Amino acid sequence: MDIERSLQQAGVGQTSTLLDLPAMIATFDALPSSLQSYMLFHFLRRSPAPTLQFVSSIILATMKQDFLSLLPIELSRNILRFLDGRSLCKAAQVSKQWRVVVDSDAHIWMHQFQREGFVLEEREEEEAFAQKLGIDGHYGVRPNYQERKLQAKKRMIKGKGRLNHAIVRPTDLPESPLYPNDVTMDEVDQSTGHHGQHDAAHKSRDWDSDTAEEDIDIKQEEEEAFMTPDAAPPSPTTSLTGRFNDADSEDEAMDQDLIEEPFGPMAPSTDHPFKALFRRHWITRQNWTKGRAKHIQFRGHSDRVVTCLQFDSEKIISGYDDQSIHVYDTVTGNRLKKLDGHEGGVWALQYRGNTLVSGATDRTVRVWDIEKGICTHVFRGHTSTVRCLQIVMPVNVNKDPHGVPKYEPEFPVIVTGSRDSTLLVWRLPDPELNGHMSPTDNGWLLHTLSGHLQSVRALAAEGSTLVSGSYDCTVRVWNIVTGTLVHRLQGHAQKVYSVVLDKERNQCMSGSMDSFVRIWSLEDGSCLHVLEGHAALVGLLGLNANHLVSAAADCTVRIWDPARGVCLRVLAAHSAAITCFQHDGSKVISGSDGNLKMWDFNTGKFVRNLLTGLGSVWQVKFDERRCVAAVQRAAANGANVPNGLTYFEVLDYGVYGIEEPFENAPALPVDDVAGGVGVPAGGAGAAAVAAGAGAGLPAIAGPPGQAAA
Amino acid sequence: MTVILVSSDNQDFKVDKEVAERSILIKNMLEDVGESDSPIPLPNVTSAVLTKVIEYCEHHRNDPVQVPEETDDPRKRSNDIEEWDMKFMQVDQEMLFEIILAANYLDIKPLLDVGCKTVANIIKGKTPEEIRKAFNIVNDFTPEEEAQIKKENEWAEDR
Repeated sequence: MDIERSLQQAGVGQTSTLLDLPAMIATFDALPSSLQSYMLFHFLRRSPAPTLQFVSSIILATMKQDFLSLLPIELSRNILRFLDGRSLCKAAQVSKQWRVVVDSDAHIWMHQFQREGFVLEEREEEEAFAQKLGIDGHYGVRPNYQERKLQAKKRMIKGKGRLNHAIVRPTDLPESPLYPNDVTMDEVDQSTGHHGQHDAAHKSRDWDSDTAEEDIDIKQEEEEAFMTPDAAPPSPTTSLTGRFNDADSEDEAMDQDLIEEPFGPMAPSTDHPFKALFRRHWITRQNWTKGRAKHIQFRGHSDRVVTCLQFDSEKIISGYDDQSIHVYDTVTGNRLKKLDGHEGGVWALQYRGNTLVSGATDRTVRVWDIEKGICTHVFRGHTSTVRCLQIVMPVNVNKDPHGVPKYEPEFPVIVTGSRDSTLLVWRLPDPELNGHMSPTDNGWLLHTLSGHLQSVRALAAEGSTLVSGSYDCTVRVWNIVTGTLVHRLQGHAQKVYSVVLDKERNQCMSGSMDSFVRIWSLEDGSCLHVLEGHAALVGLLGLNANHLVSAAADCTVRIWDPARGVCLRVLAAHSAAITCFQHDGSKVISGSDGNLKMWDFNTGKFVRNLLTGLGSVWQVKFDERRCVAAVQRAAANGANVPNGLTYFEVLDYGVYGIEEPFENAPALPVDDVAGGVGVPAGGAGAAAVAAGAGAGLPAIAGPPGQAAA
Repeated sequence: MTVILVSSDNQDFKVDKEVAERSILIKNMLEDVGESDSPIPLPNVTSAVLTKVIEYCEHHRNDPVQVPEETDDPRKRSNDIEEWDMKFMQVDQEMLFEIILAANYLDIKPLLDVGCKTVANIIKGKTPEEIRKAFNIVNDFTPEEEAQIKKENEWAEDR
């Protein structure tokens, strides 16, 4: 015995001392805790350094707590909710228990998703559930399925004894963190962290595939008859959802159908797609930062000018100055539809769902069924070119979230602005309900808004409020529900080219040929700020939560604080009028002088050229994953198109690290690291834009961003 | 007006009603009981922990009542801990653990959040190995499992 030996070595080998030890411990145990502390204090005082170190290491370790494993699961989650995505991923690697606690809770990952400001693409969540998108391929290992598979497996194992791994799964934790399928991203805001209520109840439709498994089970039964049981069955608790690595032929059919091989030996830690969705958006953002994009380029319509453009993950819709509208596949670039009908250049378009609305120089507004590729309605009413339009969706104006919702407008409407100086408000046809109506029926017109003295150049609307900017130098505020003028905002000395609406602050902003941007109060129609700085026509405006962005013919983009009316940053590296731009909270992308440039929104610094050497950049739009630009490129070998040909350039930042390894990403062009003033590439094209801008941006510059709100 | 709280080890704590009512559990109990001098037993809280909790409630007796919506918006969620709370939370992990449990039991949301933030801040910025060390956790992954877990999470690295 070690202690005995040490005592002997120490020369205290008397048997009596040794026999006293249990008695001493018993005495100690019997003492009240205050005296115990007192005794320990004296023991420690008499102990040499090595003993103290030994005691210290024991005490420090026992004072430490494995919080995530020991706390009730809802408290563990409360801790995790204070972590960022990267820290969560570190925490998931600490131990098996931590991995399950971190990964299994869908709410934690949904919160992360929102915290980073990520936005789901249309149907992305739906598809992720359908695919059972997991962090290691597919998470699609459901308890009820798992159990049944296990039954089959157990029978096999009895015969062969090949259980390789038995892993504790989320289902084994107290208060199962299993995530019900019927909670969606939209519901996170309402679910204020009370996870208990979401327990249980999987939607049965998710298990339609169960029927297919029945056959397999039966097959397994038959096989079992040929086996002789010898190995011990696995413990039911630990192997409830355990994973099996054997891939014998009889298993393969079952495995291939139902689960894909994960990375390694452990069972998937998620039963929801939100960590995988978070990862996808996280990597996509990283790719934007690092410039890792898959570049797809395809020909547009001849050498025509793209006047307006809107896109999503499936389609790109563009209007041309030659009467046509083309619909392209975002992924392949194939043309899906050509929408013919307009008899003049298309100047504005916007779609929502499957409904597209367009306006053209032929004075008509047309409504289209995109999938069918047909025009369902022609609205006549304007007496000159339709220059701008917007679909306005109903907004609940009842401030009390529990009260009866009150919508303004009551149903979706279209607002169109024209060179005839009027604005018209139309009811938006629902192709499902109204497809049978006479396509030329003008019962759709709700209001005619007259007052402007010249061409209406830009508009912006939300709820019942409409703001319009006109060549008569005024901005007007209308109520589209009543069809009445609310304010006439006077101050600009020249034509107004752009307007944006900030309902949050009850303000609107306008950009004019007089080179000023004005901020107006919707309350009383007063001018709150005059933003000075641009040296030429301000043709484009953009607005997000806290910032206003303007782009002008003076080659610069400026970022403003609309609350204080001051310029925060000037983005100056272009050498010609800005023809198009878009921004979000982290970047600005602008087109001009044959280049498409990306800027850091928060510093105003030039980041890199996304595209160079173009003739013109007609339009640019981006979402979280892609940037789509409609451009003009010089034709090869002096083909007979003096202006160059129209191309679409799609930069897809959601490929590398997701669908393809990072290593496959193309290296950035050399000039991407350069800062400062860009060199104009397509000389002729850039000059043409600059000249055009000086003359008041005729045919070349597209409409401001408001059309694709 | 004061109330008497009794810890699990039968110690009495005389505190102002205003202080005690930082605990929603106690506040609701007092409302249910009405005017009464009878002591309130807290069988889940030891005197050591209750001393700390009362110290916290004393300091925060005049804080406005927290609006739940604000803290549940992930975009507004912050890990900032005010200075006094930071010092208050400089305790060993066992006490921190007990404070979190007590705050949850007594329903003192701000204290619960400060406790959880404190633990989160220990985790933050650490490698898995450093986290294990900080909480005395055994790495129970096999090398193969460790490779898998790395692969599952390496995307969050800056690359």
